[in-house]
Amino acid sequence: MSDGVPARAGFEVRLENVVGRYGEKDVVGPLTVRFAGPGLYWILGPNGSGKSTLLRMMAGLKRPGAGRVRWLRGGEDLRADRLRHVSGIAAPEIQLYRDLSLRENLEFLARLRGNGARAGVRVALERAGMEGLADAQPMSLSSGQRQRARLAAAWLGDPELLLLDEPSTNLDAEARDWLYAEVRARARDTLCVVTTNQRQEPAASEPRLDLGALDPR
Amino acid sequence: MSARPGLWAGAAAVWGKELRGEWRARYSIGSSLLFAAVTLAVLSFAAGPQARRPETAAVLLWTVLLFSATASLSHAFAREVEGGTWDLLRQAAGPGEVLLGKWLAGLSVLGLVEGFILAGGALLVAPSVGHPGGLCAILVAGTVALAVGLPLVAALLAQARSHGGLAAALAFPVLVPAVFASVSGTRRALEGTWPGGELRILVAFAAALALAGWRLFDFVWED
Repeated sequence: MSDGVPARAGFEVRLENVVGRYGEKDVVGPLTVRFAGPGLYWILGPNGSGKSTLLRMMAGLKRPGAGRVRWLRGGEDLRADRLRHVSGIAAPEIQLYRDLSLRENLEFLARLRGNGARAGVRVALERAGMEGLADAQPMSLSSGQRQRARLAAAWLGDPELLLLDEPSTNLDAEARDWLYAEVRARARDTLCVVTTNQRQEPAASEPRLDLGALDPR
Repeated sequence: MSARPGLWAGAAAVWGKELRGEWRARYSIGSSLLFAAVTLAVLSFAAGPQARRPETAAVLLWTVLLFSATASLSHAFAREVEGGTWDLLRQAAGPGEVLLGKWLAGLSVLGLVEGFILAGGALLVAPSVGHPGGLCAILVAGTVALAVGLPLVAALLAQARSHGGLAAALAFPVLVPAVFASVSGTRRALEGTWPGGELRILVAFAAALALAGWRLFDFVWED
């Protein structure tokens, strides 16, 4: 990396008095939280508690209504416009291009992010169990397969920050077990932040931010 | 991780993605070519022999070009928003890469549509061209102005839900000066005069639009 910071230096996301807005309404915050990688963090909360809004702010896709989000690599601030080279996100509302095959989608993303290249695309597909469907177009896949495709796009190139918004959506029990084993393996050298409304999904020892337990605004 | 792509490499990736999608789905080429064929045929038939007069031929050409361009370029960003790929793109690319890639893709599609319109115009109207070089220059400059302006308006329109009705009101004044200059320049080129004044207007207009687009696009880009 050309920031003078070695690759895989500890990655952090800091939310400083962050308020998340959806339209004109404040849905989450003010929050001051530090997610320090590598590791797996959970964001819990019922529907409408602001989990997705929070994750979108952490991905740099949404500006906070108040406060600020900071991304740090090796203790140094990372500019928001550099975030795309070191992060990946999967969310239910983020779709792949329907006119491109799965492989073409990932190759396109790899070219934009400057990570992964062709070898990375193959690895990302294999890790999602989608190598046999690489030439299929997203609309021809089942909802569970589409979810796996989103996950492959998110972890393409082994990002240092992996954000997953309710990733077990549309996955059967076996696939959920596979997913969380994969995420926990990645969390050994990656900052993984996962949202869920299923309280049984996080292990007892894993840190969590429970939005449902915060004071309502 | 490998090296980060530069602006042009990212724009080339977006350009390639746009053309590949266009080739497979025929989002805009099909409707643009059909529109161009129908309007060219109807207008040239309605105008009769008068269509060969420079002022009529110029208006005919740019009317067809403007609406064909609108049909092909106005959905460039709305498709991203409606298809749920806007955030995928924003998460992976920078605003400059996306805007530049969309501009290049629009220019490619418009170039193809324009070739079709010129061939059809030569066949159906067959006006005499007094200054072919001037006509080529005006066509290139006018096409670039449209290819720069239309995606910009399209980007604003795609976000119009969150930015109010201002965007729709912007489309008309953004494009009309370029079309006026293109029509005037085309008429002069057909008459045999070098359209220097119109070319200067179009180049300045395209440059100003590109600069404004480059600055404004950040507002479209932000959620």
